[in-house]
Amino acid sequence: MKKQSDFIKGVYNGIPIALGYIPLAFSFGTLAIKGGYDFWVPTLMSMLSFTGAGQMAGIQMMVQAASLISIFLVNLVINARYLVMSLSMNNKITEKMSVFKRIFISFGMTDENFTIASFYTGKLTFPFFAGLILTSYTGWILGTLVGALLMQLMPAIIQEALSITIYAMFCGLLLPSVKRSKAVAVVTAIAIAISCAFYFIPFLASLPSGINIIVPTVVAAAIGALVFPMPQEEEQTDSIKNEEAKENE
Amino acid sequence: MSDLTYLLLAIAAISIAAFIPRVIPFLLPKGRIKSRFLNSFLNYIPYSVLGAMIFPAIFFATSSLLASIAGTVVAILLAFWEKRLIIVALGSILITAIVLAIV
Repeated sequence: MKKQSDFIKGVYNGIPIALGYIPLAFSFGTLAIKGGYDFWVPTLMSMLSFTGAGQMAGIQMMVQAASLISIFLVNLVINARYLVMSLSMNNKITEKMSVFKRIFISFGMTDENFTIASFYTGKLTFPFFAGLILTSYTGWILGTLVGALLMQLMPAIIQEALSITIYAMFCGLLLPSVKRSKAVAVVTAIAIAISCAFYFIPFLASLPSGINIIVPTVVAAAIGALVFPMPQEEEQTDSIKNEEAKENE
Repeated sequence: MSDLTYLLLAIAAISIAAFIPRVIPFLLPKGRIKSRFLNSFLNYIPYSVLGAMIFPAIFFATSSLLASIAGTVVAILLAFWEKRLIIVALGSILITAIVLAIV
């Protein structure tokens, strides 16, 4: 066991992530089928995107026939956090790597892979990342495929109840952080208030789909950044991401 | 635009939007964002976007407002007690299904 290759270590670290992804990917697959798509649609999306919340929001907007530009912008906003994670990870990798290898690693920078790699005590080599990312990626795609294929066999009531899955998981990700940080609680409350305004005020509700997510997200995060600026520390993003990713272990 | 064209372009938009924020930092020369505001802003994004995506949409997730509210309450309680994601999801689905079956 001592002479394990870095690739095997990566695979070993990726197995719990893959297991954690299966129910999430499963619910994504079922969501797509509920939206009226064939099984290959969510599977192709999982293969090309590898991003949970972005795909969920994306497929919901596709069902509502939202404009392509709003789908693109919502996903950019949802995925903006990866900028911070990738910046941090790029700084942690000391080994010289080719551009191709860097691009491969960046594709696999999910919340969970980022967290595991950040707290990995060994050397962050390319084979380690390859093992980690390929393992979690496999769980993600298989989970999507199985979810999409099994959906058709489910009773109607269960199918309908599954619509709550994504929101329940979002609650599971969000609430532990809200409990721990007053700043996060305030930012979240502002986002919710604005989001409700976009739903219930007729003029705002008539705006193109996607605006109702982008505006609350950006406004609440900007207010948070002004009122509760974060300390300028190297570990800042890591500790916050860690709180979230813990839930999936 | 045909349905299939829209579908493929939407998938492309989602994939590109997922890839851009991840890949740019890896292609830049090494260094960190200096702006404290920008760092804080990016840090708060996951929370604000989750808040905006959950509410009020969660209340209209199923055809029954009552069932959705029941599922929401259970999800919030389980999440507040920091149960595992899968437990939060399954608990919420179970209660939602039960209320859907009753009403």
